[in-house]
Formats: sequence, C-alpha cells, structure tokens
Amino acid sequence: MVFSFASIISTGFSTWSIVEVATASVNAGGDAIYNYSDYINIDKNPDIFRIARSGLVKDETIVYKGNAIFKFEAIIKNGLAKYKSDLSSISFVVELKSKGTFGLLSSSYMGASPIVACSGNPSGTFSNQSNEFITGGVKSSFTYSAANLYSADKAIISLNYSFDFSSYKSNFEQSIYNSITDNDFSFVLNVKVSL
Amino acid sequence: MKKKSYVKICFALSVPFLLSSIGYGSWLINSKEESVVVSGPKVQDVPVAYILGSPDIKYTKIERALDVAKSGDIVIVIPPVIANNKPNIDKVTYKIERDCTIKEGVTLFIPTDKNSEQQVTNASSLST
Repeated sequence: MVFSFASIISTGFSTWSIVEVATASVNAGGDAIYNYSDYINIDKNPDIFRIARSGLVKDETIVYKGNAIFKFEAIIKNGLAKYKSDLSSISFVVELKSKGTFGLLSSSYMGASPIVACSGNPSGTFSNQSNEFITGGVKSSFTYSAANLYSADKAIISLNYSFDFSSYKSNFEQSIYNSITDNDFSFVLNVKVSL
Repeated sequence: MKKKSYVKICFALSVPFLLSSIGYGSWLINSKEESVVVSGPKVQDVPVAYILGSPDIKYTKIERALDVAKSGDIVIVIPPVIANNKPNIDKVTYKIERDCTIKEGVTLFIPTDKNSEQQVTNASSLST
C-alpha cells in the first residue's frame, strides 16, 4: 500500500531535492548529484567591531554604531555555471546565527528590523531582498545579478549587518561589556543557493 | 478478502514503477554552512582623546584624534582615571606609539593639572 502510494505520487518527479529550491532552470540529467555547496566558500574572518568598556571600537574611535561584514564567494565559471551556462543571476538565502550566550543578532542591538546591506564583486544589482529575525539570528534573502556573470571566475558577496548600541551609551559597561561572558563571538553562517 | 487482493495488486504495480525510476533521480545539495569565530571581541581600549566641540566622539589613540583633526581644532588628551574615578594627573604617562603630525592650525592640549581639562572651552581659553 505504502509503495503504491509512493510510486503514484512520484510519477513525473524525476528530480529530488534535499532542500527546497527551484530547479526548473537547472540542466537536469539522470542520476546526478548537483552539489552547489562545493562552489561556495565562506570567509571565516569577518570584519567586526571590538567592544571596550566605553563603547564599540572601530578605527581607534569609540562609537556606538557598528557594522559586521560577512563574506562568501561563489565560484562561477568553473563552478555554478556548469549547471546553467547562461547564468546571469543567483538567488541566495543567508542565515547568520550567533552561538554564544550574548544575543548579538537581536532587535535589541539591530533595531526592529535588521538592516543588512549587500554588495557584490563583480558589482551587480540585488533584488527581492528581505531581512528578518529568526531564532538566534538573521535571515537574508536576495537575488544577485551581474552582467556576464557566467564568465566571471567568482562572485564575492558581502553582507554588512548594522548594529546600534546608542541607547546603552550611558551604561555601556554594565549593560553590554559585562554581559559578554564568552571569550569569542561564535557564529554559524549558512548560505543556500538557487540558480 | 477483497481488501487483501487490492493490497497485493497495488504492491505488484508499485514494484515496476519503483524499479523503473532507478537512474532517473537527481539530488540537489545547495546549502553550505560554516562556523565563524571572532576571537577576543572584548578589548581594553579606553578613550584617551577627543576634539573640543565633539565630546561624544572619543578616540582610543591620540594619534587618531590628530589624524582626524582639522585646522582650528583643539585635541584634548583625556587624563587617565584612577579607582575613585578622578583624573590622576600627578602620575601620568601619555603614549604616542606611531608617527603622527600635529597639522597646521591644530592644537594638542595635554592637561598638566586636575582642573585644566575642564577649563579649556575654546582657543581663547588656552592662553589663560
């Protein structure tokens, strides 16, 4: 009974996805694994402010607004373009989550709606962008398009997360500095790709 | 009895379907995940200078304040603070660790007594 239902339901579906993704434009063949993740490299050295007793430190200046820039690269010519030769745009869903005890990625320090500015190299346009808080982090969705993208060796995508600690200015040490008990800031960055 | 026959028929039909689908599946893995660790986000930097008129912007290096200052600006060095939260002017060490320039028209004010920092309000107050 179970097998019969499975076979009936699967009729017409020759492509199986591990994750939910549009596959209509992929050069699908038989019995293949399309591993886009092989062509995504996440930069493990984000550019992020430091935190002193008086405030954030950026460029030897005490400030209360700061940014954290996370980057990843997508290999295009010898990578993703193999699945779609006329590749001109890529859709990404990026989830950044903080793992420590201090909830850095929250509305307390990022405002009611997270502000995430995207940029790319080669320079291109970003459309369908949305940012939202998820449990422990921020989820950003966007489509990156660039002229002749298929011929580029790689595309470097930067996500610039904005933080605002201005409301903690008067008691920064007590409310922020002393609240950070971990020695490191730990994040998990997840990048999903759709062609 | 009828139900048992129905199950058997369905099972028999499903086997060829399943077997025929072998070799026609594609798997799509499109997610990459990495842990990213930022070491030592907490630092011991303290504000050591600011530019008169912009007390909300403080610098952790005197050199940086001098870099930012423009002609007409007065860079005030903030005296170190001791445990009772008062400047300890009597035993002060100011450090400049890299080459820097006091540009033309820029004044660098280094307090030498406990009250002088507060007494500087503008360029004319420097001469008193």
